[in-house]
Amino acid sequence: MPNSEAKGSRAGSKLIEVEGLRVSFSTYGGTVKAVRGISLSVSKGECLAVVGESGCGKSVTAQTIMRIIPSPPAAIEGSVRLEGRELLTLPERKMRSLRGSEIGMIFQDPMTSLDPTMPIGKQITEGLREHDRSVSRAQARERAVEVLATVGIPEPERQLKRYAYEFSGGMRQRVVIAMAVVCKPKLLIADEPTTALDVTTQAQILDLMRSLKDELGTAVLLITHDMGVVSNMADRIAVFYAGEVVEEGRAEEVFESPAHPYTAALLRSRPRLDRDRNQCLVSIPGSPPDLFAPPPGCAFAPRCGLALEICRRARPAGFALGESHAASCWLYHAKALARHGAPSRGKLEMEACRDR
Amino acid sequence: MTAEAARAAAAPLAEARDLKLYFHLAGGAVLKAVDGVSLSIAEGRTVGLVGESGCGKSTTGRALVGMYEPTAGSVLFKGKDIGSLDKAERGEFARHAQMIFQDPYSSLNPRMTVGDIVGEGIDIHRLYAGRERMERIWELLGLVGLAKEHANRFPHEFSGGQRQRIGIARSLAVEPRFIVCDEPISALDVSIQSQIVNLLASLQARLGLTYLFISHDLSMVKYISETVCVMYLGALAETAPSEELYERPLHPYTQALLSAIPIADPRAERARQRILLSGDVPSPVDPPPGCRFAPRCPRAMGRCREAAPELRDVGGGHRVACHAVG
Repeated sequence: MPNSEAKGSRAGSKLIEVEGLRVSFSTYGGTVKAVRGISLSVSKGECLAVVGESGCGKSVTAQTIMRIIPSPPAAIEGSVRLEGRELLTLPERKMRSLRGSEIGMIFQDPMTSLDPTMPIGKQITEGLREHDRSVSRAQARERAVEVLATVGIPEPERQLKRYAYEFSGGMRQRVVIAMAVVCKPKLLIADEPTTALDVTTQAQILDLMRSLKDELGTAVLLITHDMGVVSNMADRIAVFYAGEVVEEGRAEEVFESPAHPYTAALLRSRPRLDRDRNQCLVSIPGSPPDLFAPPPGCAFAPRCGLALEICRRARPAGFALGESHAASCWLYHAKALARHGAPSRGKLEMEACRDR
Repeated sequence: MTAEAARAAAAPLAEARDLKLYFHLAGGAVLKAVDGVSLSIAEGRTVGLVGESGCGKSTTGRALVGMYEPTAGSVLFKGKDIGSLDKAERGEFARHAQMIFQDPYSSLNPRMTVGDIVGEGIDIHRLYAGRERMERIWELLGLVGLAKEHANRFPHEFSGGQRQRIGIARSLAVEPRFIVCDEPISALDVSIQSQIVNLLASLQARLGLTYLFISHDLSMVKYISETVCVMYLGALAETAPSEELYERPLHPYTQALLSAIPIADPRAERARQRILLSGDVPSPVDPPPGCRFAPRCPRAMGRCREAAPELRDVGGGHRVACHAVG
């Protein structure tokens, strides 16, 4: 490979690989196809941000990697491999020992991931001793104090006996992060870790997550809807729409030259604080499709001003735009490119939203 | 200069003067949600009110439409104290000052059709009846980008963005002049948020509406408001014309708040200097004496812990409450 500076390009360093993942749920109203053929990978020490709106399948993907979605009722197809080991067929007993020790998870709402009836110290040491029986109570306590200090909780010894309700939102999220990293997992899945927090607290938590990633070398799968959070944390980005990855690339590539009309419009649908007030705010008309009956073609086509006839009929494959950048959009098919050329960014932003 | 003169000429439509709202809690504690806020909104303008959760921004907004009785201070509408209005004036005020709520799910009655939700205000204020009423409802639905047919449906049949449109149609039904938009987009998806913000902006242009736009989302507030007020723990920290506030924030809290917002551009994001605040917002039940921000402020001096700073004019409509700002 001519340019091996991109860490992810060497196949050997892939920590987690998701391939052709499909997840659907049977309900009284029919079958919801929440994840419709997703492939992604995270390399060691890398942060992959999964961006998308509610219902795009980002959380379901994360929960499937952790195997915390009960199946049945969920129907899961495809493959999830951690350092080459298939997780989807792993016996539950083995999966249990892997959760927490090799993959840690942080959820949006710290209050629901903490046990309100148990002091936080016990919650941290419980996980530690569950995974390694040889750890003594005293050692576990010592490690808990250490990890609480790492996540920036003042006077950690004194906090061990306190309960979740005694902490503020930001402090609770720090405790949750401490629980997730206490066993030094190789992969940390963070599902909207700062969405429930105020901006000044969010900045503290993002700062903490970045330093943990650098110090512990943990790979991070960050799930968020906030492009600002993405640009702060991500090495690479996967943009989700209606249960599919529509664009993938290094953070700079996706932000500077978004290729998919959805990504381009999404980036321009929020005003930027560092621009003046006269910036145009792009509205994406309509709303995401109903995943009980997803459209046969590109899921974004009904909202896309650049859609071709083919877009409504057949799903586009992923077209490579560079070594690490790809978009699932018919506009990048060789024949379309030959006829119309690559759409410019301005065209993508404005035309994608023409029919307001 | 001319803009200055024009601003001075436009009399405020809605105004809060030294507004205080205290809530008495069990056990004798007093929660000082709003503690001496003064702000005014000129006709046809948008004032943004920003701050973190619990800073009192929603309570201030609710007081401005008369939903709370002030503990002290006053709320003025068209120059008149709303506490001193007679019955007819009170009715007119209730019609002219409306509200759009954050949660498009809980703010619509699930048992009512969209037509009845939008029409309720029309009935209460006896604006139209019969055929005219229905036509008005259809017109309103059209105005917010919904269809006539939607009038017979129920809220659960709509998406979040569409529900927020219904909430906007309801507030417009009584031909208001002033609308308090309380976090109108924070429950919506990113691609839907700009639809609602653009809708609010075009309605303002068409109908000459005046908005108080309450949000924790500083980028959106900057975009939609001419003037921005920053609130911290029940008091105003700083207020200035939108561009001015973002270009030249003076209060240490505003500076920290602005620097905490991640920008959707990895290069710009990496190049930024961030001011990280330590700790959390203290409880409004027993706020610190002196400046409320002092315990977390990187520039706090002895004086800050003793006396609360007054909001002072530093020129160009820029006012700041900070002892450290010369």
